[in-house]
Amino acid sequence: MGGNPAENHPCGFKWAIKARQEKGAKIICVDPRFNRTAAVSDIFLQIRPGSDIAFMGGLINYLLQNKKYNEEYVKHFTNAAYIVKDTYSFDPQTGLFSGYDPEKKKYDQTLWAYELDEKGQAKKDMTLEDPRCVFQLMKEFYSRYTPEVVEKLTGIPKDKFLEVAKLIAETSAPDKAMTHLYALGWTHHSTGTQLIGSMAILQLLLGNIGVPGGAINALRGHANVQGMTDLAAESRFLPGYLRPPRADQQTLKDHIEASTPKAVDLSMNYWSNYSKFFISLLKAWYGKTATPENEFAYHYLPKMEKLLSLDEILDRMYRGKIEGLVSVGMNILASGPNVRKTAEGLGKLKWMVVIETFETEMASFWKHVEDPSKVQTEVFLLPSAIFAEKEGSFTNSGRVVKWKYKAVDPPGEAKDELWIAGQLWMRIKALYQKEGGKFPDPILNLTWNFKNPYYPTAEEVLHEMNGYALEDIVDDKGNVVAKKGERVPGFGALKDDGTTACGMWLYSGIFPQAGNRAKSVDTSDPSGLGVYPGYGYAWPANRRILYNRASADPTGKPWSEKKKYIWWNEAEGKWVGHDVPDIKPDLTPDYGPFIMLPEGRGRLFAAQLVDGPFPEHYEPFETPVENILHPKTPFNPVVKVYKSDLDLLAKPDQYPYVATTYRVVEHFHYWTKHIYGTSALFPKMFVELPEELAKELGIKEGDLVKVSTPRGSAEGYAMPTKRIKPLTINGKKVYTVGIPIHWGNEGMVKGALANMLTPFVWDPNSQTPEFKGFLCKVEKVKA
Amino acid sequence: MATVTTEGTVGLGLRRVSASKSPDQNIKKSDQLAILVDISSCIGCKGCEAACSQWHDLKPPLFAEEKVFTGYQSGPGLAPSLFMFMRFQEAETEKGLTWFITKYQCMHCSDPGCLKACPSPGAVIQYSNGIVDFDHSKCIGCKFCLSGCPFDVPRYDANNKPWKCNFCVDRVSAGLEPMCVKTCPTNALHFGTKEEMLIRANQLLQGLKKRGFDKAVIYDPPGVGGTGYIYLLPHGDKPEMYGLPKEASISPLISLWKGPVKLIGSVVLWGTLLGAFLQLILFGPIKVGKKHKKEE
Amino acid sequence: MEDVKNLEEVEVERFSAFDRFVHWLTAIPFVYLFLSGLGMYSPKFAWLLPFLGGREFSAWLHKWAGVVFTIGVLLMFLRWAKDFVLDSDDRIWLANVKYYLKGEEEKLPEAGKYNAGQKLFGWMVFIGGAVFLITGVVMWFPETFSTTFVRLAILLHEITFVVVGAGFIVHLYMGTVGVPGSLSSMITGKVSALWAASHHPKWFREVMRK
Repeated sequence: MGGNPAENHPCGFKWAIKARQEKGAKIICVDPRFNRTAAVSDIFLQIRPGSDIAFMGGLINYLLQNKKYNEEYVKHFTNAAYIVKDTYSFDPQTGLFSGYDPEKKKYDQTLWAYELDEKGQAKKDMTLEDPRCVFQLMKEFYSRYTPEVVEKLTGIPKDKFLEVAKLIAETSAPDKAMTHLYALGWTHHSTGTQLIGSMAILQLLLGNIGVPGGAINALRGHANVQGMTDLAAESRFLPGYLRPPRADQQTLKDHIEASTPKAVDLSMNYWSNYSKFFISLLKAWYGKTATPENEFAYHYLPKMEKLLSLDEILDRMYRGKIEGLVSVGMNILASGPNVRKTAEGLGKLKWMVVIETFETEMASFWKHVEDPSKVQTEVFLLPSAIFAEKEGSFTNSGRVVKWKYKAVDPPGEAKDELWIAGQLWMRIKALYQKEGGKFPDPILNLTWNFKNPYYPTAEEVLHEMNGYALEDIVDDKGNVVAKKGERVPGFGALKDDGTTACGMWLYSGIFPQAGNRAKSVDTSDPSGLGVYPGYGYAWPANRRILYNRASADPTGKPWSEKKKYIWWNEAEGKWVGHDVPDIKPDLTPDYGPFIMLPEGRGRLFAAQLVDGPFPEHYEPFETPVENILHPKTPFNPVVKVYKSDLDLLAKPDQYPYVATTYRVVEHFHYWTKHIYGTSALFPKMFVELPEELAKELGIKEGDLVKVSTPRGSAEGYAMPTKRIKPLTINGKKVYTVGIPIHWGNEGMVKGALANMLTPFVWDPNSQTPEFKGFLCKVEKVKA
Repeated sequence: MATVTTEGTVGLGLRRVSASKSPDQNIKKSDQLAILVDISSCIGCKGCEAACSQWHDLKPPLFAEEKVFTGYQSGPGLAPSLFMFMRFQEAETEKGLTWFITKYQCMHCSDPGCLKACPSPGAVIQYSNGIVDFDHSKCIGCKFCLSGCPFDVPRYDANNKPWKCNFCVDRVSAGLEPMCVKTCPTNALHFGTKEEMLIRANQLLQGLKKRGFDKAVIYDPPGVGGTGYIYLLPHGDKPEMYGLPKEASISPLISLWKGPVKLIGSVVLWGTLLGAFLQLILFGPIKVGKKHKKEE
Repeated sequence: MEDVKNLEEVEVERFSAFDRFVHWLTAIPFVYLFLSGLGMYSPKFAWLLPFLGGREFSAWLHKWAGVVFTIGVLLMFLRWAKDFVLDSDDRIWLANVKYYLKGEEEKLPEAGKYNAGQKLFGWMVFIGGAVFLITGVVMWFPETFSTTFVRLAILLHEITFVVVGAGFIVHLYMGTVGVPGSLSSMITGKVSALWAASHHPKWFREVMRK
């Protein structure tokens, strides 16, 4: 669900095929379109875009009603037993949780807290019978999602739904597991984070997290999106998911206190080490300038008043509040929603630097501006090297960091981004040295220890990320783990006293003194489970399965011999197994397996999400049907929308069809249309629509059709198909129209930009736009 | 018949040569090679199509400007610069909606129709490992191979030379797998000896039957003596949905023109010549009539 | 018949310049077509092709020679079709063709300008030419037609080749060695009166009457 792995992750999908051939695994595909994953699946269900939470809610309800969950797992490894404060409530009539402020469109999340005892520990009821315990609240919450309701919301017939539910429920057995693959089909919703949360609940109930063959796998859309996320390409993080300082955290102490959670149960609560990672990062950045006396140069860091996420940046740009923009490897004009708004915004910049392999739509954005003559933006296009033309690493969906070597020189004047960064930095620094400026210290004092400061190497950067000792580092037993100047063996050695520097704690251990582990290519599989510990390096600490302590039962014994992975060795008093245990090796089994959480237990109830602790079905922001659960709150009440003149929204009377955008396997984003071979594989922009709809509109295969929304329109060749069927949603016939991205106005083959159509509506947790499930109309273009 | 002594372009032994006597099979022997296409594992990613064009340095047609629209296919089909393509067809079956996605290229028949139809000695060759290849230096551009082929494969370029998949004979003879097989991300393509491939196909077939595809078959048409490409078809009762002929065999018309017509033709032509000669020696030329001579 | 004595010296015009032109317009491409066709038809004659310009070239020229041949046949048809209508005498002639072969022409009905054999060969050329044309076009552009159609065309082309080829051998023989004195009719256009009176008495009388 929520992904099309056969098409977008074909190399990974081979393992699904192999599992079926060798182990009799079943592949279930739930998607708005019968895509190429569906073509090789055992079961395919066509779902209406934007109704996935209803389907997931139905599954959760099925497990709870039929007692098809792993009870031991749920009791001990999740927060099912926790008692929630009585300030939490949910009103099924309005569809709102307690604490909603309609003015600010925000919840007061403090109302959803656990009941704590005097020691600050969460109150629990291990019988799971207390009506205020998470388990009972959840049971009641999802009791509304009956198979009938699921059918009315998703369009999936009840019997089909039950067939799949039964199959999924079987994986609650200790010797069975289900893995879930999702990608942008789930994140591209105004309820995207909640959707993934719903799967987390399902997998926790089934006991499928932390076990071999289980988990939720986010399929990353590019070779190194995982690496990019780890290294804070989002404004809400610093490298390694540390927090950027906020305006109300003026001192280092404030920041660390606010960022270090307190355990509410028997938990390793690994984030209690926050200060070690944060201060090591400051040391890596500011070196000798960062001292205990000046709070390790904490005052160099900007303090955020408001989260500056992509949506916010684009909107500010449109409002003319941004002066310049540097875009590296991102074609936001083509890949962001509402192309016209982005284009107009880019046209209000003074300057823009585009560092790209090809001349992208981003660089020629003015072609999409209403009046290009008014565009004042000066665009600098710096040609950059493509992945095979530079050294570096990829971090894949499985968190495995793999080194890659340069194969060929970049053509023409194209340069490695590290070269570009080095050149830019040294010049900027020189300017600050010369001219001073308002606050030159953070620039002048930044660590830039590279052999050639104008062209750092990828391995030099990895050295800084791994971290190194500034003094001899001694562990609790008095052994020296790293001498002064040496790289640290792992993040366990990091200190908060300024004696270690580490640019990215999560990767620490990747480049120990012995050498770069991302370069290792040992393909041995000692356990026979497909673990390959010597191939690349999996963060954290070369762990292949996260939270793998959960592969053993609460007493530390494997759930089943078949799925034996990590277990408690009573005699030695430590955790052993086929992987690096994801827990302190000598920590007794009563500690929770989810070490990154203060509970130590998986969250079935997640008060941290801004739009509710339980995932609830809300319609997409643009929907052709009413929300039968609570018509008064049809869509996510805290959804992020903007109110500019170009933020236009569609109504179903004018725009009756549901549209969803997607990728095809032949193309990679807006890239491969610049290359002959891949252009030839799929040269033309097309629009997929149900045969019935095509007939209704008098459209034949190959006709040019125009899809439009209030934002804009896109033309493509009609592809009437049996693979999208009209759905019956609560008695109403609903058509789904499929619009592939990939084409644009630059490149070898050209076509309309799909994102001319998409709305500027964002998930409030992840700030991801709603590309799946918006409204459109379709017309035949007269020849 | 003319005898072709060449060993083809890559030094492999030959099994059959167009319009020629077959070389002695005992001199150079090799196993029959095969590629197994496991349709049930194929996701139609066209990785093989791209890799094929790249290995062979082809620039396949780019149907960007033309008004043809062929859905998920890269174009209408094979071309001189496109040795293989993925065919897409959708239909309702008893298993629900099915997307028939097939890799399509020369099948490398054991008894190749193109070779049989070719009038030019040595223009079509079959190596001892079963690969069927064209030798353009010997091709006369008559296009008879088109009619010979039961799978509609050869495509002629502007110079009137036919092109098709050559099973990466260059790679294969250097001990590498064909490019499509190397590229396939889901292991839907298997490469080895025909014997091994049939064993593997049978194993996969059992798995498919267990999954409820009771009509699944291995497509290895006996009409052409079996093929170098064998397919595992989940819907074995509908090979035509995969773009494969139900009964693939060399057309009887071709057998007719290559067999009886040739024989009868020889008899007639030689017979006529002989008749004329006999007339000459038995009766002599038909000279000016006797009647007139007498009058003289 | 007082001139009989001089018959050998007297020349009669049998074919006009146009006739001869049309004949050779058809015959020259035909010889090429026959030989190159033979080379392609049977690998045993593939050795002919190098003499005809090479394998590839001869296959190419075969098509264009076919075009010229077609024009020739068309002109021939316009010129001779009405002359080649078979009458009752012709049928008797054909039934008793053995006398002709033995050189006992007097046992046969008297021939006009063309004897039944010649007429028959004419029709062979007309019909054969049409079949060659149709099937040839199909074979030239096989991608445009259905495969079965192309296969059928090749088969017909070959059968026609055998039939017309056999006729051609006879024609060639009769026009040269078989019937002495014939060849000049297609070179100079003239035959000796004796030849004419002997082989085509009816026609000869018609000519004399004029």
